Amino acid sequence: MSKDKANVKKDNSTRVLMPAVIFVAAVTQIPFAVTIIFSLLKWNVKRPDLGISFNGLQNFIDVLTSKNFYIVLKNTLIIIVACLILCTVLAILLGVLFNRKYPGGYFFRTLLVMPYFVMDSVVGIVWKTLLLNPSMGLNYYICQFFGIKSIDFFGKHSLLTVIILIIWQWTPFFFLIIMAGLQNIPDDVTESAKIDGANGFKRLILIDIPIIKKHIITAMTLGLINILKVFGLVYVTTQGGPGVSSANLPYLTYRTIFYDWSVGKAAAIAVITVAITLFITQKFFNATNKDE
Amino acid sequence: MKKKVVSLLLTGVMLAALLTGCGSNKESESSEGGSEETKEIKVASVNNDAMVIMEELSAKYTEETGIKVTFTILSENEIRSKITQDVGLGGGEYDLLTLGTSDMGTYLDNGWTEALDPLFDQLSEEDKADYELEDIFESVRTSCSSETNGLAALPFYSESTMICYNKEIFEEKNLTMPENPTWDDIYELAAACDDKANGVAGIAIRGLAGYGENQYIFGSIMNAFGGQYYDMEWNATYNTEEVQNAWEFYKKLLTVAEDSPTTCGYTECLNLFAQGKAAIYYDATVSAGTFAKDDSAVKGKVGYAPAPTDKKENTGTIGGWGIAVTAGSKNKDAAFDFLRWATSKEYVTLVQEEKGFESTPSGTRNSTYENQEYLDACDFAATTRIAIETSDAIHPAIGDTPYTGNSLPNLPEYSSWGETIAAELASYVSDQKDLDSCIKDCQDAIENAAEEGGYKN
Repeated sequence: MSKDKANVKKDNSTRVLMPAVIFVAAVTQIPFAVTIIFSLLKWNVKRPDLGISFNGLQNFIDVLTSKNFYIVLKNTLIIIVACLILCTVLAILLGVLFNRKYPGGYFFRTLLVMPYFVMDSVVGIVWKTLLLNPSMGLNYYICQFFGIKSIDFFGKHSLLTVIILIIWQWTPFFFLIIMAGLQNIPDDVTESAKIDGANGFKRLILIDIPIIKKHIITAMTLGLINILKVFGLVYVTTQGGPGVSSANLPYLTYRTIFYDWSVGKAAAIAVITVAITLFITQKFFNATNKDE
Repeated sequence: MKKKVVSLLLTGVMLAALLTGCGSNKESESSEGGSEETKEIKVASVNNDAMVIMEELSAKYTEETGIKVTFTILSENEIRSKITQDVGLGGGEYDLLTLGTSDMGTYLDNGWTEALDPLFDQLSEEDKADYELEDIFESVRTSCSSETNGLAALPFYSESTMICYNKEIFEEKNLTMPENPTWDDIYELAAACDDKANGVAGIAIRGLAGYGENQYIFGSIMNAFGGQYYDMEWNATYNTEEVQNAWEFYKKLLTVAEDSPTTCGYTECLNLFAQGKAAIYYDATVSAGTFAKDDSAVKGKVGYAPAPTDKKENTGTIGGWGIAVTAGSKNKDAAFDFLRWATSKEYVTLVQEEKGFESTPSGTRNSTYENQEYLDACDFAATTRIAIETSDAIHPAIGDTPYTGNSLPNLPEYSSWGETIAAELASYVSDQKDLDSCIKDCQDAIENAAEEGGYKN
């Protein structure tokens, strides 16, 4: 009898959660639903005389049959793969380096993580105008010192330069998460590995990395979602150019709405971008959680 | 009990957050143009020097009239985008807008800005005489007008394009700038001066991709070589030998231009020449004012020549920035009053007194160029006047065109396919794409724009 009474006790968790669910749904899903509606319209902001009309799936067909879309998609995938791998490797190496006590360690660790807290458009401006400018930046003076022509980073090597800047900015993020994992490795595990004769490299590969695997996956998952969205850095440095050689999907969406003024096509690119993002993150999540 | 209290508190916080975005009626009214109660007008402006000066001097207008003027000042790409969003999507935030010549007619035809002819007709004879609309160069008034709806904006400053060259470098190299140079002359001179190993480029010329950046300059080169975008039946004519020649010449010219030209737009090229790091500069006439300032390394060392020619004789562009009254403004009278103040002869005098002759808003009025003090102080004034008076926005190409506007055609879709051309051009000069592919993609973009825009019907 008392057991039934205990089971009958009301579960209010749903009601408590409802305001939060409604708020999140309103803020995230309504704009997405409106974007899907826009993607079905033919609407050029600069031609109000042509009006707004239903265009069915034509916007999606136009985007998916456009040569530039596939170039931009390829750029986006290259950026993701290169940045994820290099950010993770660098973060692990830096984590191992900083996971010890030495004078000035905290100071240098603070300097290391600072790029992550700078706005990506500011990062772009600083690198483009002060450091890599071939006529007036550090690039010019260093190349002049060595007697060579200034390197055209944003012209001839635009995609590579964008990747380097993303890695520079996002490695601290990976480092913070992976460092947290490394600092939680029990000392006795490390000590017993040393007693057993394992050198630093073997301890890293066979002990540390398996223990912090969940931290690495978390860093890569969050990094994947954020690097996919990078826009400010591309906008400020290369504007996706030359041509579309350094454009990614967010920049292509921006260019379609604010240069072509084609609301429908821009919305179609945005919807496709979300679909690709969900697909990639789902596949990545499944692959990294296969053993569980 | 504790859980109930916590859940109630959390609900309250979330509701407060949800309602934060709902402003009061008073706030939202004042965000739609200026407020009627406080007599305030809002201006969206590009961040060129002349506009920054206008913002500073608007305090004097406020002292005289009691009308407060607030500015939103952004870079060219950003302000164009913000303005189009605002008027095109019904934002209604601004009373006055700075517009480029390629946008003025379009915005008026779209009903986004107010036709100025009726507003001038309503003025008293005394006010008309004070303003003296006829004092503005005819070519400039034409560039600020719609073909069907009349005057769309008043010019704040106008510009054409011309050659500036560093006389000191030319003397060292024993070179002479012809009185009417051709593009081949400019290439030869730039090649002779190019010394990038010692920090001096032959020519500073825009290479940064953008329909208002490299296309502003390349468009004039294309016109000079005999190219055009459309024939009279709105068939795209970009895949012609003339256009191809222009592309090849432009790429050759960039080999004697600044390093990494695809990263250099108007601002970068202006700074390079002003610092003495380029022997020749081809760009807007208004740049000469910057070179004449005290902080310029080339002050007093600059010579001038008309825009270079090739097959076409008269190749100077007509551009600049005008100010228009938005159709959605709730303070049209105040906005028009400030507009007339900011483009008047008295304002020109005010700038000269407060900021010096080199900061004069140039290229708009005959009276500016009849002021001997200004002509004596600014040696570029004579060349600028000739460039503007002789430019022809109605006949940009050698052949007949269904569009007007040299360099930047007066077509709403230009921002789209113009951007495509700009990007393809940058790809070509960076050796990322071959010429035939680039030309084909540009031709397709221009042709599609004519079809989708209903121009061929």
